[in-house]
Amino acid sequence: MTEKLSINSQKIGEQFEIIFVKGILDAHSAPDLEKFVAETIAQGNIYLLFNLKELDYISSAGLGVFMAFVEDLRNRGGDIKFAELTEKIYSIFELLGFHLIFDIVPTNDQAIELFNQKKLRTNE
Amino acid sequence: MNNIINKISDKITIKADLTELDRVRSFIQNASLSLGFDAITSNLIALAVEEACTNLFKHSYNFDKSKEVSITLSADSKGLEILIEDDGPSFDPTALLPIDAEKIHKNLKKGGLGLFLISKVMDKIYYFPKDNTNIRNRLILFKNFV
Repeated sequence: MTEKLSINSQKIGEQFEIIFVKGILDAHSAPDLEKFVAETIAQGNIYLLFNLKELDYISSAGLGVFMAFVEDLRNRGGDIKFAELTEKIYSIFELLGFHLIFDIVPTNDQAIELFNQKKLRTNE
Repeated sequence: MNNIINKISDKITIKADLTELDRVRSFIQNASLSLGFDAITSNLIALAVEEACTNLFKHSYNFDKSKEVSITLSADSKGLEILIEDDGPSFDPTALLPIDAEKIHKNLKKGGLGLFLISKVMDKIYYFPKDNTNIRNRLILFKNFV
């Protein structure tokens, strides 16, 4: 993994993982995140919450990682959500209209609540 | 404004190597901040230039690290001009503009996002393919001060 990007995850429920992405996510480091997410999904997780509190930078290559996985996850009843974006990172999401296609919430708890509601609807 | 740019360092030449992107970002961010753009806008301008470089590395140079890209900055009373020059096969990205945001969102696939981002951040984009008088392709990105 490149030194400028750090990725950690925490399992918080069945098929549910929080992924903390820190540092610089550009074309150089995006393959590291892609590999990490692919492994997380391969372990059976379909509800992925990305906490971007300590993400300093993101380019289209980084955003492309989320776009590459979200369709498959949604087809399987899962989703990708984001929490704790800095103003700098949010400005990029907003510019590209990503706030219209992804749930972006202030805290992990709010994202977890949204996921739980989705799980309930899926299980009904 | 030109004096400010000259004080910063007005040109860098980078290898077609993704490890060079850090240098591109710092160069553009520092120049943009010095010219009075706010932190958010400076970050977006750096992002646009990085996307242009990444596209050249990938599509024009096929990640051949022996190839080079030059970035030259200049400013006038209206804004910041960023000239990006390469030696690869000519390809006019402006021919793909405007990009339909809805199509990008619906497809949710990789590709086209970098150019979409450049077009959202910059106010003007020009492309001049290499010819008898100019031996390099020139992409010019312009950002207004207001």
